Amino acid sequence: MIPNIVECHQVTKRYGQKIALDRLELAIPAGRITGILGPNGCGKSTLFRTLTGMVRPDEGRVEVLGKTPGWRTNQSIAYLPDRARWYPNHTARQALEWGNSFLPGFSMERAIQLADEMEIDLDMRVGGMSKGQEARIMLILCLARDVDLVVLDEPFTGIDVMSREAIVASLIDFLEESEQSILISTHDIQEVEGLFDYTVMLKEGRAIWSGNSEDLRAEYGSLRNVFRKLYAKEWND
Amino acid sequence: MFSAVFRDLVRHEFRSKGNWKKQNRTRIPRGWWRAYFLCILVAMIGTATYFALRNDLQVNAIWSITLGFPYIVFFLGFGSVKNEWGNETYGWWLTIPESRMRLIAAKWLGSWLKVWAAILMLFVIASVYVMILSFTIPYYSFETAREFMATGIQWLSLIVTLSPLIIAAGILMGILQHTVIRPLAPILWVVFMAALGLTYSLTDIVIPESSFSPQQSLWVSYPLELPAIVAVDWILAFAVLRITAFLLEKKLDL
Repeated sequence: MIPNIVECHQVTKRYGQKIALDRLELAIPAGRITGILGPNGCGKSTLFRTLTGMVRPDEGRVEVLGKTPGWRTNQSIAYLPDRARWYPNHTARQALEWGNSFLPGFSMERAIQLADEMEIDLDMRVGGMSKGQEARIMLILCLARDVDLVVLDEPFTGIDVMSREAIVASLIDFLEESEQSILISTHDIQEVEGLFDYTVMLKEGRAIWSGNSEDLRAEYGSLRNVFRKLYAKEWND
Repeated sequence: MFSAVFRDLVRHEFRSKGNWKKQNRTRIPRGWWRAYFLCILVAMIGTATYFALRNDLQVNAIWSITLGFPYIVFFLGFGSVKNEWGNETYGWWLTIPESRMRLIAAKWLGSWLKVWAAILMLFVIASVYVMILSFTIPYYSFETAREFMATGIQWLSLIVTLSPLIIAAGILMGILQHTVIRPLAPILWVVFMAALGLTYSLTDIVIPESSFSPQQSLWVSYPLELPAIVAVDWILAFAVLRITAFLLEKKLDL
């Protein structure tokens, strides 16, 4: 039996009156490329912040890599935060050196290779880059790590179409070679439809569907159709 | 605590990482900023020299430009955390797989080193200026310069030795705003701002009024209370850093 890389049992997280995760039950198998899908505000980022130990659930139990999340488990997790930016005064090279200094499993050689493939000038200041170039650097910080779990929170948000295509192409190359478990959250399914082999659909802090992407497609058709049916209200809004 | 990673964290904190808000404003070329700085410096030196030539400059008054330092030091600590949120880099910072105490201690040490750097630079510039005065204007002697430096060492070393607690308080305030106990923030702002005012009362203990009087300053030795004050300051700084690390680990509200 394939072990689970993530397990959530009755996990609840509230922000004042708002419930971000509502008695979430979830098990994600290891070694898969998992899409965490759902509209804005469905709890994707809160789930990822919980997995990286940044926030603690009010109730319930979370396990990632078989342990309670915390700074120690982040040694084995490459995490791209939601709406993240990079330090404007750093050059791309300094950003990679940051990764080399602080991120276990980071390969500088691999990072420079990825930067070359993504056409990033290593001596360029981040402050002078487009959002797409900045996003590619942050993606490199995750993809150049040899760790058990890669977590990418909305990696395509706010990025122009050309950069999206470049990022998706890099991701596809990476996923072909990788044996890591990967979680990618997005509310924008068009570019990534074919990336996932396991899918979790979140709605209002609960997992309303999880399983093999093939089964999901067999049941509903394309992921676009899944969205249309499972999130009828949000889709029409 | 003092591993290679910690050293790199401190180095990272010590360097300027920039600020997206300032970045997004209409940019004034760096050369202009240098020109503004030079103009202010020249105006300050020019004014001081004008009064010196009239034998009206009480050199110890020069140190009064550092009177805002306790507040500057506080906001240096506060800004080191605020910038992570302002730059939207907090997700990267918080997921560095190091203990929260190390993350916080690196910010604290990075800020303290900045205080040291600023104070040493100021001390050297001010001392060199007064030395030049003492060699070129008969009213001022080498003794004037020596006593000026002695007073500077006393006042600036007071700032440096008390700044650990002030920086720690600034960092705590920066973190507190992102935790579940953020309703305490307004009260603590009042407490910290009022407490910073006490730093100036300490100067009465450590540097008597006569040091800033129009008469030539005299070397005043440190009072016996100072080691106790510094020890309490450092112990409290450590306690505040511990509390901040606890909040970061257990009480974040993102």
